[in-house]
Amino acid sequence: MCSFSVAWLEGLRYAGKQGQWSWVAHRVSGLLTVAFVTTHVLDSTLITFFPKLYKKTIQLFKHPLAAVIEIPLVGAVLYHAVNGLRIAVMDFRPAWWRHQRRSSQVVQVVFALLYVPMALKMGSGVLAGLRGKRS
Amino acid sequence: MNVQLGIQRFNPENDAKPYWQSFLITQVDPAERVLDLLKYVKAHVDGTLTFRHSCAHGVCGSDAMRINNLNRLACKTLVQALARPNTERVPIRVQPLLGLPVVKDLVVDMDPFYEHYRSIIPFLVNEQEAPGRERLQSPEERAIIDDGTKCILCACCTTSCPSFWANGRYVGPAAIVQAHRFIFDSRDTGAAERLAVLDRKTGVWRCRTVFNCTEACPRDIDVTRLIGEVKLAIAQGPRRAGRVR
Ligand code: FES
Repeated sequence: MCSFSVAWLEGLRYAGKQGQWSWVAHRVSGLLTVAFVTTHVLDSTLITFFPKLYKKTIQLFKHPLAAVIEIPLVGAVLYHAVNGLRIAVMDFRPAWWRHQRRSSQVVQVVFALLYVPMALKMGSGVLAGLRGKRS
Repeated sequence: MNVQLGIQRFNPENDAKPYWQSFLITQVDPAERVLDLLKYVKAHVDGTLTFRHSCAHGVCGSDAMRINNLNRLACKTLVQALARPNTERVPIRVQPLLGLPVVKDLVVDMDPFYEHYRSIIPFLVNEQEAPGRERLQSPEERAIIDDGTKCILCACCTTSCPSFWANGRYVGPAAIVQAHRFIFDSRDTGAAERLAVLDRKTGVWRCRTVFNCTEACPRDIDVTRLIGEVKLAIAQGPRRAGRVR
């Protein structure tokens, strides 16, 4: 056994194939998803207990920087969901292990197809907001 | 062909931590194996270099190590397989397996690995009186456990698994492969006991379906598939999970 940090470091140094990199991406996107969900839970809790603070927080979320941070966060949630489905399918159909490398690639393609238009839309929203502010 | 052979060295009597030592070996036949290079260094350059090997033909599993960042058997890894096209000097880096305590240089302490192996009851359990001759098994029944019987307990799979690196109490892919071999054996009656061991926190559920084990196995065992079948056996019972039984 080795320490948690060594496990992470060696995970990155070990020359694993698609499965390993999908796992690393799954972990990272999982952590970001937790951050995303926690923020959301906390800010909605404010409505009940501190309505004024809630309004302020929402104002804060409208800041262009918050909107920019949201773009990779949505990407993380989306990747985690799509790759999670792949892992679930592999667990229920072990005989499909043969397609494991291709399945990671399919996840990347599906993720790109869903995420790129979404990110473009969010990005143009941010830009439009900035332009509106300036004029 | 020349080889720049980097070896991770560690002697617990003198060294506080591991360090890298490099050897330039000239006129190497591309068909030579990494094991041949290690033997050359030990015989001609540094007799203190320590590593395990025995059969030298991929049967005993004693020379598993991390070669160019992948777990493999030194006796089955040819220099030409590690060479990049159009390079005269092949860089090869050899390290001990990760996740097991290093005894010296490339030798790791396999005891924790064998303890996990023992925990899954790796022998035939059948209390019924044995028939006069052998317990019969059809070719179809044998085919289910065929993959698992190829395992040589080299630990390439277990020490390539991120879950095992993070938590050495995880039984690891090799022990699960061995368990699969008996759980799905038509002559065995100890499946429930083994599944109980593998249903613990340190059992199969620590597998994150990373597939490093499948990629590392020098015997081409579909390790992740076998782990998946054991997971299903716990969830649905061995009979439903077995493809033919
Ligand atoms: S020395 Fe026996 S497997 Fe390599």
